Amino acid sequence: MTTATSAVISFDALRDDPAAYRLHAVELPEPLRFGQSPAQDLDLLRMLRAVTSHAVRLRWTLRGQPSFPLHTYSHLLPPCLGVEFDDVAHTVAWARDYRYGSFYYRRGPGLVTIKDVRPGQPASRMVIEDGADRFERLAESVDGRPEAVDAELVADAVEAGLAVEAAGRTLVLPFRMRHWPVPYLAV
Amino acid sequence: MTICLAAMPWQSLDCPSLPIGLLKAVTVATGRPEPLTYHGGIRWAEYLLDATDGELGPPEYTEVAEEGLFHGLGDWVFAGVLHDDDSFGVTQLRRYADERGLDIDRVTRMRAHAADFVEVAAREILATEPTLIGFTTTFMQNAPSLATARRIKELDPRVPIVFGGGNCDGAMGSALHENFPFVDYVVRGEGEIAFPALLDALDGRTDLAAVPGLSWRDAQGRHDNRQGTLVPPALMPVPDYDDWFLLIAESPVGEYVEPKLVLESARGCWWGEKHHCTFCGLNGTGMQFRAKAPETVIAELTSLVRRHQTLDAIMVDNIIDNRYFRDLLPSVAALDWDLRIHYEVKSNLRPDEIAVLRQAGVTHVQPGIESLVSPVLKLMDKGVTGVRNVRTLRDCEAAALTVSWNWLYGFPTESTTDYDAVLRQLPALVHLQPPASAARILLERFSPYFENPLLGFPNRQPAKLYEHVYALGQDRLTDMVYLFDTDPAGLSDADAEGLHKLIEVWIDAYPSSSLQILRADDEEIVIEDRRVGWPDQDHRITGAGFVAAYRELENGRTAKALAARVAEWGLTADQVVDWLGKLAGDGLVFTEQGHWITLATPTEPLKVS
Repeated sequence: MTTATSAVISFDALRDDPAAYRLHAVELPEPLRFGQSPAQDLDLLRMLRAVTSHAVRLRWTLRGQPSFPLHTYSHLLPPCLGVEFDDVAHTVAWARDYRYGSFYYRRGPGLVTIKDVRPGQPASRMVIEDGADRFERLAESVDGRPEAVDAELVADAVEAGLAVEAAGRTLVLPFRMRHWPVPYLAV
Repeated sequence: MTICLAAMPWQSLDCPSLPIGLLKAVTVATGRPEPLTYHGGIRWAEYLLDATDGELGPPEYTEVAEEGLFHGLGDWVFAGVLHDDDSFGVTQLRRYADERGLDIDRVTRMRAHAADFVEVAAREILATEPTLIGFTTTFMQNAPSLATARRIKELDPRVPIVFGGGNCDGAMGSALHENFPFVDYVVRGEGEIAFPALLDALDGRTDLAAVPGLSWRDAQGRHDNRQGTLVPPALMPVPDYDDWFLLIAESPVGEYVEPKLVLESARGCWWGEKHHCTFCGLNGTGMQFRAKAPETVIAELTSLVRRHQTLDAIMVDNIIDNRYFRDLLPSVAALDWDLRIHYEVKSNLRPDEIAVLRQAGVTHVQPGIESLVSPVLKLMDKGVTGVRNVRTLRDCEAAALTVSWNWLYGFPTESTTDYDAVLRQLPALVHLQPPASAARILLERFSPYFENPLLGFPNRQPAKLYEHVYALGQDRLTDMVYLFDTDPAGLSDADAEGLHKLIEVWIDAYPSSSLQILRADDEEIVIEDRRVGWPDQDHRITGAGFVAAYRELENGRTAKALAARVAEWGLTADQVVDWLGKLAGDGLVFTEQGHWITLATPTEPLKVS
């Protein structure tokens, strides 16, 4: 990927409609501040998951560190810069492990397929049939608050490494594959 | 009747055999039991994995399958077994490889296991207790199929063996039948009607003489029935892939591949019916274009996706039906499934067609671009110009469609002067998807160049690669093979060196190159230039007149036509010509034969290496 000159946009604009910036180079004016609470981290990661899914060429700066292990979010678009020295070091680690399309899901007829080829762990492919619609709903939920009937689904997803939870919120980790790269079979 | 259908190496490992899927379906439709199947490609990959402790396996298999065709490398692996002679073709291949700088280490290591594998395959096929064995053969499947068939006949001479598939089309099938007496029958041409007719004949219901396209023998000798009419779309069944998907799910090969569906929405080529591309023989005797109804295609796609939980689909059509842009692809898009589809298309795609492809999940197209040199495209009878092809590359890049194409040369009467102006501009195209390679055209059976020697290739003989595949003289090979050697035409090898080098540079530069419109309004367009080999800079098109001219030029225009269209902005023809010259100097346009087109893309795809 080449580096493009970016247009500065607000966090809210990007969060509310990431599809509008598909393949466009944009930049956030302020660093994304992680580490204040797990719940806030989940929201920031949710936004980065949407950005990755919609293939936005976002340039962003990291402050702090997410409250989750790196492998749970290394498939999401990494920062370009860090504020403090530790942030820079974490930026480098995140970028090192990042590869577009290393952990994603695809929507099919009554099913969801998931591919996980993140570094440092065995590659896996799986198909969700039972509860595929509920999995999708949870994955695309704006706030990550599961419905009561989804408690078992969330527990299973967390146990399978497909989701993380904090303060009653859930983040399904793989992003929906909306944009195939060139070449198309590279992911 | 117990039928066993076999697809031997080098069938792709990541998708089932379409011919087997179709023949299973048509056989069941006759009320007969479901044929058993033998997926010899997967078994060969498994065998190699096991026999070499993982040293040779699916990756190496796939390299041979994808790169070995034009040198007969996959066939050569099994040629010794076919001819019951360990040394057959070894000296010939070494000499052939030396002359071309080919690495044959991999296939040499594979060949050491071929005899044992064929023994296993023959016995496994016979273990199904078949009363008829069918081999489908296309491209490099001949030698492995023939070798296995020969061994089966040695083990059990009573079991009849039938061959069919692309390698058996027309004269090739008759010659194969004549050259290999252990093949009892050959079905020449499409199988949906002929194969059930053969089953009827073997059941004694009809006569072998009534089976369309069948080569067969009796006490009087060998007979070649006339090929039947082409199969209408309504008689093309939904392929049955159940057994293949079960097999790949259990096989160790499954860890190496992502299974894909193979579908067929049309046969033949609507362009070729009117203007047969002079070098192309791929349609064989089946040029007539026959497309399934859009509702049939979507029904097949949805049923197979559901059944096999696979969202990747390879459409094997040689060219997409233009109706599908309106009547099929929007319906596929409406499913809102995350499909990944391959289609072959004509290279004069419009932006709205590219958008429809993308929305439907078509992520890979093969547009038959072949060249960017208009006089050469005319020699091919492609019906497009170099500028039109550049436009397709640009618009597919912007839509993030992967484009596969090759640059072909070696056309009679082409000359270096045809190429000069285009080659000078290739460095400006490095942000667009490059050809996989540049290659001299081969003389293919069924192509106009083959059928009509007056078009420029009067001398031909079976390609040299067949010397290390078949122990047959030229007289017996001539009717059996697909590729022919001929006197080179057009560019000499020395002439083509520059093209090769420029394409190598293009391939290297593409992943790191972009030429993107960053901002655009009525008064200014800003183009960010990050192409390898060009200075990093932002180009600005300023002034309403030039902005309008740039927008016009995105469609491809002559200078005269462009000047006429922007005259209302007060730009003179001389100003337009000067401006075009400046754009050309910055590599922002491609021009050929008086036509100009812009090169910048509004977006850049995600590139993953």
